[in-house]
Amino acid sequence: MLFFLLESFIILLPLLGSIAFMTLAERKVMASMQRRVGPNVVGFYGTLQPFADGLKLLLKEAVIPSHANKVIFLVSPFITLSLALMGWAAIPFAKGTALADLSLGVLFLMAVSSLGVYGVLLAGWSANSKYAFLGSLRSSAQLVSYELPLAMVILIIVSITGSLSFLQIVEFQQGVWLIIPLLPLSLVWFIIILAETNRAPFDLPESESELVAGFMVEHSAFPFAFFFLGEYASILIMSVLTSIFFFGGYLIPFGISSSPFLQSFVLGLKSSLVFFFFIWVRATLPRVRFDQLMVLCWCSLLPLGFAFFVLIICTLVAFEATSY
Amino acid sequence: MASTLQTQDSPRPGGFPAIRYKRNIPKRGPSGLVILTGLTAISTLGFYWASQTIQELRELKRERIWSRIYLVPMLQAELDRDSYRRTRASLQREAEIMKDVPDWKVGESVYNTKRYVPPSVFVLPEK
Amino acid sequence: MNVFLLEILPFVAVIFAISLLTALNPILAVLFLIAVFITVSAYLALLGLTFLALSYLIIYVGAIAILFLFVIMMLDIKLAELSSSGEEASKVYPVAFLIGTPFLWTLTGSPLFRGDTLYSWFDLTTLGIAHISDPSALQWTNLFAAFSNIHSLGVCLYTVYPLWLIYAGIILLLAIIGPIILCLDKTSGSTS
Repeated sequence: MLFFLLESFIILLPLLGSIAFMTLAERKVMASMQRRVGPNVVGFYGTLQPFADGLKLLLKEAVIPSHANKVIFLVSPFITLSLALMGWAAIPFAKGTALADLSLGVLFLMAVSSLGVYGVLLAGWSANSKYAFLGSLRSSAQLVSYELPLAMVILIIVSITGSLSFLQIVEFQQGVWLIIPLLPLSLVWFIIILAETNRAPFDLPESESELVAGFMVEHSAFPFAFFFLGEYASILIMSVLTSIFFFGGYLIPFGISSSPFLQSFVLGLKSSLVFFFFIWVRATLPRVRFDQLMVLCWCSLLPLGFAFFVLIICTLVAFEATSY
Repeated sequence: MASTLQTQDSPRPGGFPAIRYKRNIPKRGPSGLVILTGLTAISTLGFYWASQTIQELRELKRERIWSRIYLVPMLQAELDRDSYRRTRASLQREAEIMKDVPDWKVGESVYNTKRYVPPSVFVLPEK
Repeated sequence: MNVFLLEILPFVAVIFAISLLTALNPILAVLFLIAVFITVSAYLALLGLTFLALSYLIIYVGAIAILFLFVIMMLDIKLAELSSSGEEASKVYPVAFLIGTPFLWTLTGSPLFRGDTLYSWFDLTTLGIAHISDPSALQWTNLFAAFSNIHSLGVCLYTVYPLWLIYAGIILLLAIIGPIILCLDKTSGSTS
């Protein structure tokens, strides 16, 4: 039991640290794309800025609206953060190095990420405010819709590799990184992960200027910080998932054999590149309207996903290359 | 009022030229056909490699299953030996416990049947 | 630990189900429903039916309950009306008792569940005798290929019950098309 707790902490503590530095990286990269300096006061070149921000949020007063359902209001940020952290149990960091090498790891991650909608829905409802409520309906509709093409892409990957275990999906890619056969599908995947994590250009849940910030308007101080952490944790998990599904996870190209330490470092490098893509898109593209978002999902991405699913299964069967 | 001559504003002879509202952006990059062909080519190559991987994995799986199939008779024989030993030990234990009871037949089935009934409990070694 | 959880989780699920029935606020009722689903899926996972447990989570909790919550949140419900109807809600208790008692009796008294009761657990652990199935009945010939949950389910569905699978598919298709037909406005003649 104690050992299990220790294992979890070994994963969770660096994870929270990396979330903090992700926010800093985002601000710095955005600043240099917009020809600004970015945070540079706290610490060495602003390295301690996220911790200063966190401390500020910790010290502020947590305002709870008087007619809010207090229990659900305070529990929903917890739900968001803990579900975003729960998915890390199944992620392999190097060969044989995972908290739990589940044979149904992909399914577990899908289940956990589909539960993440509850945090959004309950936060908006419990605040007893029309803005927060409408915001939560908006963003949960977005999350639920984009889960379908996400599941389609994952199903395609699973049907090629013939396994629901992350380790086997990664080991499969010793032959070829899946981005090469699934190049068109990876573009779909990049769009979907932007929408699933509520990032620009699909950041309607928190479009501050035109839609009054969405489901977490009423949350302040530490509950807000929990939402913030949960959001970045899910971005990080999506980056890692992208590198596991498409870029060979912890594998190093050209068959270079390596130690587990180097493998996990490579996984981190690939995930950081995917995270850079997240920032790059945010700094480049303008926000879309909500109806455009829905039309993109239901009329373009989902039929495309279905079509690819049928095509790829048929191709594998036709060339007798099913892996089971 | 009605008799006053009214002139309606009408377009000049020949009409106005069409308003250019489209953005005038020079076309850049490869054409759609080139992109489509390129993507298909890359995917096809990738699927060729992937199918080779799949075939290798299938071969490994077949090898694993056959290695287990060859092990089965040995394990089954080992199991038979073990269950025979357990039965003998159980009979001895029963004889030891029931030695003071007259008319006790060791090894007689406690069930009201002639058929073999597998034991539902078995004794673990003491620590 | 696992055996203990297996004993406790059904009780927790029943408690959540009772609070689901007695909750006055419909949103709280849906939340209790979600809690029932999660406990049941944890129970299934502990039994080793991991695939069923995870599909429970994905389908029931991740999709159906979210739609329930979504719809109920958008309904206009006056909380003041809800708090006054407590007496009416308790009228169903006798009926619930009448239906529930034989059900529980069948569950606990049936031979299927006899080996798994709290009593037998204490009984066997205190005696130092393991209640494992007979090792001599072990067949290595059945064990050389370890089937995963999904594999055995798939073999079962596609070889033994393919017709039922097709029936289920047709019912699902009807469920998708039916609402669209119902929503068509026949008087105006336009389908938009």
